[in-house]
Amino acid sequence: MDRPSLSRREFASASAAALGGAWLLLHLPAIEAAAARARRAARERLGFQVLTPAEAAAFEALAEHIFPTTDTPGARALGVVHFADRALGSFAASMLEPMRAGLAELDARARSIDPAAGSFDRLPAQRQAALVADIEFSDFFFLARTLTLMGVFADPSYGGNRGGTGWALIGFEARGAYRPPFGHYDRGVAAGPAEDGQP
Amino acid sequence: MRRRSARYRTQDEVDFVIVGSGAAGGVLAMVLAEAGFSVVVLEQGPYRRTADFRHDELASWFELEPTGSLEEFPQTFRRTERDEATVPRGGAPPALYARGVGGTTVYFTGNYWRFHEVDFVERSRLGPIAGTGFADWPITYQELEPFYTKVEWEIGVSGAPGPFDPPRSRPYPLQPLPVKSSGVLLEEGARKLGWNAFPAPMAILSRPYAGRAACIHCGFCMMYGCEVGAKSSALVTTIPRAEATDRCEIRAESTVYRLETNAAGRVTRALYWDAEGREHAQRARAFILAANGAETPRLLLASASSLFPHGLANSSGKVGKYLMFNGQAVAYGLFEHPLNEYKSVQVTRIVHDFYDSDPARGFYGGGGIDARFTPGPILFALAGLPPDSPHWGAGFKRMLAEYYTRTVEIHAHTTSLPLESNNITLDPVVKDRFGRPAIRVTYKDHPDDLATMRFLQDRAKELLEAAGARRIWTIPVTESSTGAHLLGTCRMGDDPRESVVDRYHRAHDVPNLFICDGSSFVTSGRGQPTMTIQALAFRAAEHIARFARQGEI
Repeated sequence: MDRPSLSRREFASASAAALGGAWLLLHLPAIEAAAARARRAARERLGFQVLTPAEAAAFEALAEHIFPTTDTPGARALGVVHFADRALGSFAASMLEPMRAGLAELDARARSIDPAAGSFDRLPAQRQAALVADIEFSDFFFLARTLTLMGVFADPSYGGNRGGTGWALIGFEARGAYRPPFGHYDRGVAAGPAEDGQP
Repeated sequence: MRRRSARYRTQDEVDFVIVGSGAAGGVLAMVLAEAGFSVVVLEQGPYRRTADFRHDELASWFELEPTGSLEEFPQTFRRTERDEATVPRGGAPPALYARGVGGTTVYFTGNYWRFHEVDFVERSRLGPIAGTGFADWPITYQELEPFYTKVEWEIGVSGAPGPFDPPRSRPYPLQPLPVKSSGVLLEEGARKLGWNAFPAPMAILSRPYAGRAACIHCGFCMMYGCEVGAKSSALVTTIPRAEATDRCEIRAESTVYRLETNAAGRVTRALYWDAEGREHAQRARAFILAANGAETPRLLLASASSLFPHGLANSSGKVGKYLMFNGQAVAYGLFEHPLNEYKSVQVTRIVHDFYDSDPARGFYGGGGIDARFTPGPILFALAGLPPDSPHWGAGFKRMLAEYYTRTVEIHAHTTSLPLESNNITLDPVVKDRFGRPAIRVTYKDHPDDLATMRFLQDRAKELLEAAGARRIWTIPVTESSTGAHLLGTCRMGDDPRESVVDRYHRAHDVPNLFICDGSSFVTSGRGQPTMTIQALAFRAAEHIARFARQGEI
């Protein structure tokens, strides 16, 4: 992956527009096709498109650390791995090889820590977390985090964000139309001046 | 049912070819077609309709569906003319604009500030600024005022006058949109500081108007087409009216690559590629460029000939020069209770107390402030939390849930000085899919522009403090690498040695060529240029129609 490593500050403060552009570099036609496949896959419960079962298991375990199950659902329950699989098989295809390499490296590191576990997803959760902390500023983690959060918050037709639950978790109602008052501070405020165009 | 609009053959000599169907092109097409002229509008992008628009954050913000990708439409960027320009990695297109009928107006936020009187005469008021092209406009606010009013009533703008507004001849046609929590908090902060917050003028309908529906407050404005047509984009205002005359053809997916000239120095044909890459040439009596501040100079530079060796209409050498992006600075605030800023239009209140430049500050510049919130859930999750926040894990997840509905952004929109060294040129190496040179953007903010951004970022923080924010954070002001406001690159002026078009938007060098879009600007204003682009277009259209009737094109 060509993207240089980011410092913690840069990582978190990269502007929305820049991140949009970063994603653009992943080369993205075929969004519609991906969405259609995702819908079909969800309906027919197809297997993964591009990830091997081992890769899918490693990614899902990693995604679960990025957006964990707490008192509310996490990446696993939201179907994030399915979003990632479809993305890497279509509009994010140029990221498939870096993702594969990163997941393989993650499994290799897991084996060096605990040969008996054999792979990242079979490490005890605490050891997984320690490993994630080791790589949290790497290019690979940047990619995995981006795909995970897209899988949590993109339109459910892309395969993740099951039932719109990701949106509900942060208070995004996704109703498509609203009426005032919109929030706490505009309650009881008149809609506008009495006469059009006059202050 | 969609009515079928006029169709012309390329060998027919129509009265006008207009390149571009956005803010300016739509107005010019409507006024000239309604005045009885035959018009062909050549638009490089597709003809998307209201029914095509979706609330899909991934497609809009990450696939960049409105603008197209840098791989499809390469551009290069460099900071100064000494640097080598490259296609940016990890960035948005340096010159950011939408492709499609209606242009960027389809996807904009809809802030419709008029310029103030001072914007047109600032050079006279403040004196020269060394090393810059700081100049007065050849027209005044008073000359443009009737056309600002025309914009408001013809397309539908919602608002109410503010305390610093210039004089207006008619009230707004539509009352302001309902205030959001961000607007209420901006009012509260401003009041405590002795400043003034007032309703933002927005090109979005607060009530049904001219057969169009009112805003349903879905919140998907910036980077999204409005699926109910409440946003007053060219797509639902000027373009349908132009087509309804049966004298205007909107020819989408037509990429103009050269204006052909004859020995007399007049433009004869616009050469363009259709969607399949086939070459065509449309004849016309006169040609109007309204392709935006990047594409317009690109086309002129690409139309060089033995008679115009440095590019068409470029005897001054100013084509492509004086590019101005407007500056921007942001402060973020977290409040106790949910604001739900993702709902409804982006902006409902603004502050203009720092609009004018003040020599006491020690630098040139001014700007306006608004309260808003841009990101959809994906962008917020990726980049919306304060910089020192956890970026994964239970703590990260908890913060997203707390911050998403409680965060507001205070944006400052500021002046950019006109510098010859900031410009649009043709890249000598990188080519697009048609094999023509890519747009090359060279841009480095003037130190005063950066000082203005920092000054107004501090005011934004004060507003958040005064409004009672629990937590305030900022991202340091940095030099601009991308701009959606593409201004100044074919500036208007009375002196043919110093400007590209005259006060009527006619090219000094070419009698049947007019140029009217953001490129006409002499100075940058304070960050919301579309209203002024459209006022200029209404004014230009009246003069161009008069010239045509008098046989002076």
